[in-house]
Amino acid sequence: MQNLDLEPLVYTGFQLTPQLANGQITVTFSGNGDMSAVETLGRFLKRVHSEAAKHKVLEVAFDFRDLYFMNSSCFKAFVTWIDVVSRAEGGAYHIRFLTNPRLHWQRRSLEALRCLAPNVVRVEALVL
Amino acid sequence: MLLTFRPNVELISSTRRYVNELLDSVLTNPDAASRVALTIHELLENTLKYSMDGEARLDVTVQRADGSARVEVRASNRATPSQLAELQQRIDALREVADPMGLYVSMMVDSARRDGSGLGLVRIRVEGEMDLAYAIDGDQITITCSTPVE
Repeated sequence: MQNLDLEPLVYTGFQLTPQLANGQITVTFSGNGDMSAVETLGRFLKRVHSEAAKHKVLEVAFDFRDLYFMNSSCFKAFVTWIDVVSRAEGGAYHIRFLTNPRLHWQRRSLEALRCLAPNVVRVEALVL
Repeated sequence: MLLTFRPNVELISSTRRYVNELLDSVLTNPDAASRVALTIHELLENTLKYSMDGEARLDVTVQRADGSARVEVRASNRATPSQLAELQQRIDALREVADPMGLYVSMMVDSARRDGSGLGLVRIRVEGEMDLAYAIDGDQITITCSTPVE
């Protein structure tokens, strides 16, 4: 079994934990995605894309259930990445967001991302 | 509630959390409190980017009349003429659009292929479901975002 060449990121107030299992990459987010997280997140998503191609995964899932907030610059990092994935030859892979219905901003923000690439992005609400 | 301060990254997040909790105790709909919190966060980050002197003034009011309620968020800061013109253009475009989500998607597509986000105000308009207005007095701009909440 191959491992991901992608380390967890731990900053004050913001954490990303990637894992590869059953042909899928899952990245668990926690904390606050604010201005201080933008560059890190952009770089991380590029690496997720490389790893997804390397491992030929069918889906990348983002678990946002513990992500308290994401600002527009972090949101834009996802916009850029989804744009790359949706334009990739063969459709690359699907993107699934797991959300916390109690964090109301998630439904609105992720619905916007789904509208950006409805054939690529799925949004699922999960109760904790 | 009126705050005059010099926002920084940490202060913006803590202000958003504080107002969210405060409004959760005042409003019956937690989704409304969340929309206002998102608006405050994006407005304050805007002031950080577009303020000449780093100072911002944030005013949040809940108005009740005839069984309905409306939240108004006003953020003021000083800005350069080119920053004022840019803000004016962005807000006018958002106020005049007939299909806000359509504009949001096209702005996301544009944003994906260039540097910078430029999505804060459209996020306020669409995700925050806010009506936008602004007033300019000299080098001072006040952006007003308001929404019915119940």
